[in-house]
Amino acid sequence: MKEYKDIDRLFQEKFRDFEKNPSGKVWKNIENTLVVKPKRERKAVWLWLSGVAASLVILFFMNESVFNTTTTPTNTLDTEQEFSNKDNTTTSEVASTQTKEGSSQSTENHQTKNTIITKPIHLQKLENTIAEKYTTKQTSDQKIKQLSTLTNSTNSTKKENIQTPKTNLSNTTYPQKSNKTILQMLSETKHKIAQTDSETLNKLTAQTNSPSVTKEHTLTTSENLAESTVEVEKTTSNKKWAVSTVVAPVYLSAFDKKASSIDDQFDENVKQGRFSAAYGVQVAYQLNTRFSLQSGLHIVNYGYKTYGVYVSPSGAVSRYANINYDLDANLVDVRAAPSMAPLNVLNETKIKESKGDLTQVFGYIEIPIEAKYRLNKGSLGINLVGGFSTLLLNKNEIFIEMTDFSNKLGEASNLNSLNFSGNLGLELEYKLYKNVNFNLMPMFKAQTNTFEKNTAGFSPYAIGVYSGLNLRF
Amino acid sequence: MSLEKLIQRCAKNDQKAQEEIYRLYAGKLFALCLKYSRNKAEAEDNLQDGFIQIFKKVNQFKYKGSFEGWMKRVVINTALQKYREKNVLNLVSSDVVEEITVVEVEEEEISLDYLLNLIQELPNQYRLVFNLYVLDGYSHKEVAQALQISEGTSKSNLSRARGILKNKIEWNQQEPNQYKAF
Repeated sequence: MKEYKDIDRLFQEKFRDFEKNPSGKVWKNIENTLVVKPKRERKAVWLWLSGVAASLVILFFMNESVFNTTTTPTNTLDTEQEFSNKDNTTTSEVASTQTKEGSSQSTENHQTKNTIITKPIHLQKLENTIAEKYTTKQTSDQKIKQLSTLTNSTNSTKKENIQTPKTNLSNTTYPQKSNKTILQMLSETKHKIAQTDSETLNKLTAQTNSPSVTKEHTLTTSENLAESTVEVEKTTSNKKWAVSTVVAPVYLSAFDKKASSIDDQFDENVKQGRFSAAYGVQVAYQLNTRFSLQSGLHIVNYGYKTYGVYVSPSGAVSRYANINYDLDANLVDVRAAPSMAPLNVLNETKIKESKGDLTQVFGYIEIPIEAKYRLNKGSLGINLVGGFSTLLLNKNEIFIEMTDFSNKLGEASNLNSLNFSGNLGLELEYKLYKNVNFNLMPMFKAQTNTFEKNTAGFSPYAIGVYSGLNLRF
Repeated sequence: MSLEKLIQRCAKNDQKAQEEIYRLYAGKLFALCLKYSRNKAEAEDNLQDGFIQIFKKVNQFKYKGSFEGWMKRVVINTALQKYREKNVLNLVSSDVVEEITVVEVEEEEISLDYLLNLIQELPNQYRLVFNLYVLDGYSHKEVAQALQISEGTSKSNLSRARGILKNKIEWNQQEPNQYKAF
């Protein structure tokens, strides 16, 4: 049956409980936009503990850099006010022998001390701290001057009021305190300041007509704290960790292909790197939507071959200074070319020389520290990675290899046990599952300080394609 | 988990909490987006952008009023912002239009999808004004502010929107099957 109906009402009634589910892709898109992925790394079960150690190093680094950065305004503020109290107390305590303080400061000190008397525990803390930090007194004196200037602009009655909030403040703010408690401290401090400010302002308003300077100071204090609190919470909320395993084929080469690290006699020989494997674990920490830091622990073995050397099973040995020979290595004689082996002329009966390859293997425990910058958004992330690695030598061997014969000569004597590399890479990161990503990262690592004397200009670099799975938590 | 706890976790970029909020409110907010958009695809875009804004701004929610209401305002603003950016809100007219308030209908025969389709077919500014004023309870002053038009224009657009809706509904009464076509 037809009826006249108010249009608005018709629609309002129909749409009152209107709900409709969107397609699943909407959440996926939202998730991809919101989630910024940290991480990447490598594998090796027994290295797990080392990975944890590396993550602790990063955590320490985080605390030092990230949190200090965001809490700087608060710390500065607290420090200033703390200094004023400490210094006041100091002056009071040593008033009989230290007479450098001005008369106005003495007045303040007196007032401060009166206030502190009501808080004996706090006074003790301050005194103890002062004993340790007396060297900061000069800075404190400057602060006191600033505060004196500030307080001189109001009358002496106001001074007493001004000291009260400062003393209260120092009850809850200790610049040397651990960062872990900053949030809690800020919260308490903010609360107390709010109360103190209110009381102080009420008093000031009642006692003077020109308290603007004091008001500004105290109000700014609480505003700064509020901002700092927000900043700290914001930073904390972005914290994301990722742990990953990685494995990579790595290839060692040298900037100067002619140079030989063993002896310049082999400069003319063809030399080439050997593919080998690197593996390890990594931890990553996401600083913000773009930046992550990562570290870890890798095991890597590099190989470098010098082709076409001449080997004779002779006891007449030409020794190379850059090789520490094994005891049984004196059975072979290795040369770059037969013509360069004059001893053979004297010993014609055993000129049975064979051609072979000289292989040098050196392995490291690698500890990379790298920063990662996210270039794009979406489920396939592209990250620019840069950093450096500390390399600890843990394998050092030189072999002579022929078709039917292989023998370890010894080890290189010119390899440094500690060296470094500069790392640059591009990481592709694909989300496989909620918190699991697959990483593929071609990386270039230029080594420095590999050899003691940069032997004959031999300067190696490594190229690796690191891949692995990372788990974000 | 309480809603307040969820909101707090959202403020810390907790992905699970975000997903939970989405799961709880996607239906209602998508319905909202459907009303303000011309089609489903546009509505999904608006919903997506709206939720991103919600999660970015959740810190700003001060627990004054309902969280759902706050989210609706964010989503509506996000949708309106797109129209402002595209500069399509130019259907400006402050002509006095005959006030239309009633329409002759057989209500039982009218489906919600049919009415939704009518709304989506409205010109952008008519649709937005009708939604804001009639379905989401904004005053003409607030509508004018949101769309950066005058109150007179808001009233005029509303009347025109009602007129279009009335005509379509009444015309379709002659072919009742239209009601169920959606």
